[in-house]
Amino acid sequence: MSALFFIINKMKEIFFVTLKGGLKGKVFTAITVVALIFNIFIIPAVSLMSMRLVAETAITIFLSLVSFVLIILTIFLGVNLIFADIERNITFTVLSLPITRSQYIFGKFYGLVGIVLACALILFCSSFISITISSIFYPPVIPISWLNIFLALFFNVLKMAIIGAFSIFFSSFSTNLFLPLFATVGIYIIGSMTQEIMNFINTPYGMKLPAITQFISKGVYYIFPNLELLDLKAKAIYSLPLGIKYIFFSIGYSIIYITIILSLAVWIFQKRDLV
Amino acid sequence: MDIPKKRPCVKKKQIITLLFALLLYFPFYMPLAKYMGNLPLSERLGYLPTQEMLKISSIEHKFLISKLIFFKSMFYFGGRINPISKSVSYQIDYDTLHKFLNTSVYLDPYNMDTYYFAQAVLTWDAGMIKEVNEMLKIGKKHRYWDHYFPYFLGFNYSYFLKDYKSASAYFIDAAKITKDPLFANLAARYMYEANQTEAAIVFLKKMHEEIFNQSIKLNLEKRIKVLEAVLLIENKIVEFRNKFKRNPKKINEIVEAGLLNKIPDDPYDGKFYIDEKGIVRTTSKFSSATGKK
Repeated sequence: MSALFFIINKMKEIFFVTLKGGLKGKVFTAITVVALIFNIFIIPAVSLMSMRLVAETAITIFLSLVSFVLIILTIFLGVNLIFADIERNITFTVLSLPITRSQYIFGKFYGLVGIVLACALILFCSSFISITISSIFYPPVIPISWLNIFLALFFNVLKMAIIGAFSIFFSSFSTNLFLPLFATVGIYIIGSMTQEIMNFINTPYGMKLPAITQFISKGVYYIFPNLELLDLKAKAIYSLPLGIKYIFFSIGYSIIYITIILSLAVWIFQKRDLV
Repeated sequence: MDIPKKRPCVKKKQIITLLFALLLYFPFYMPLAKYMGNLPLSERLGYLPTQEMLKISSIEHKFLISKLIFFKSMFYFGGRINPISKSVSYQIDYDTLHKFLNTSVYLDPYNMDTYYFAQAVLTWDAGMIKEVNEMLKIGKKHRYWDHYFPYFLGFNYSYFLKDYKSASAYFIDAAKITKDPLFANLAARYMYEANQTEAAIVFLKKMHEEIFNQSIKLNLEKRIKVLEAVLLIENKIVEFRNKFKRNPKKINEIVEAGLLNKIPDDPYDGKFYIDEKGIVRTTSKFSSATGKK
């Protein structure tokens, strides 16, 4: 028990250092400020162009904005977390302390998730202004479900956690910035498309595609992360009911996937020669 | 170490360069803006990839893309309404507009704006009743709580397609959702009588109340006016029939019989007449598109 407490304590230090560094960083500040301005001024103005769905349009634009901001934050901060430490030889200093490489990796990951979560929370709080303004003039038929909007944001953070895990995974063996950057972007794009491609494969037209194409598509579907599972935009925009079972399985899927990727990252990083 | 200060003439050069660029900005931009404004219609609405490709490539932003496609369609249509004559000034590419709206609902089948716009524009102006009905049926499956879908479907089946059995079934659906006796009355009406013009006026007035977009409101106002004129003539035909035990052959007979002071004006600049079946028609066919490209 005391050993576990010791491990968590060490990880906590890396977590707080990463979190503090990220929150004070220029990337976080710049992205958050621009997103806030967009959220508070642009969204209510644009949503008023809707014929009958003013509040829903405001929520749509807000959720897309959040997705866009969080993915940029995750990718740019995530690929830099380990790479910057190695470049500046900080890793030697950190790993010379009684911290294992796995604690280092996990601490970095949790720090990254903490930064993304902080940004999401700031944007969620600012959404009260933009969405409330939009709904005052033209109230929606079904009242806005703030719980659904919060869950959509939370699931977005989970999605970013998976992407962040990949960025750390690629950084664990890459010797330059570009491989983790482009590979992580590639994972995001593939993960966002696999469900639609699978749906297409299962249509009569899709079944006529060559067997190898179908096989590869199905393989990609099962191996790469299915990020569409964590997309709750429709539920948030139109206040549709959400099943508890779906929430439970989606969170479980995310945690299991992150564990697999980070375990691989730790295994590779432990074998890496940092010299 | 002293940091060398910029020489004053260098700073002056920067200011002159900036001012020169600002001066040249509008002379260069305005001809380009004029060129963009004069582009042919088909280029202005643009082209879309196939629905499936767009859905895959939208990744997680398909709801936003759906809204953007709708906004583009709305701006395209709105830009063609003359606010003074309240009619369509330029020829509209309805087939492409339908494709855009169909793609919008394919990406986001909950997007009520697109269905509402399709119902307001594609049915009346383009006569694409069956196409709009197919869209509405998709919307009805997803927005099961929304009475507008069975309401619009009921109206389209009754007024345009004369399929009163299907119409009444949809009005019953609308009545079940809203518990509003209006829809139950409409359902009953289409089962036993064919009071289409009055129902159309009620329908359009309801749409006019609820729509926010000004250019579509203007379009609806004109349509309501022409239907009110038609309803007036239809009611006078009934009075003529009751009085003279026959239908009037020409519309002037109603005026000569003293039942009307004058034939109402057609807002679409046509002339009202009675066809061989006794139905009130207009030479404008409820449209004033001039075909300007």
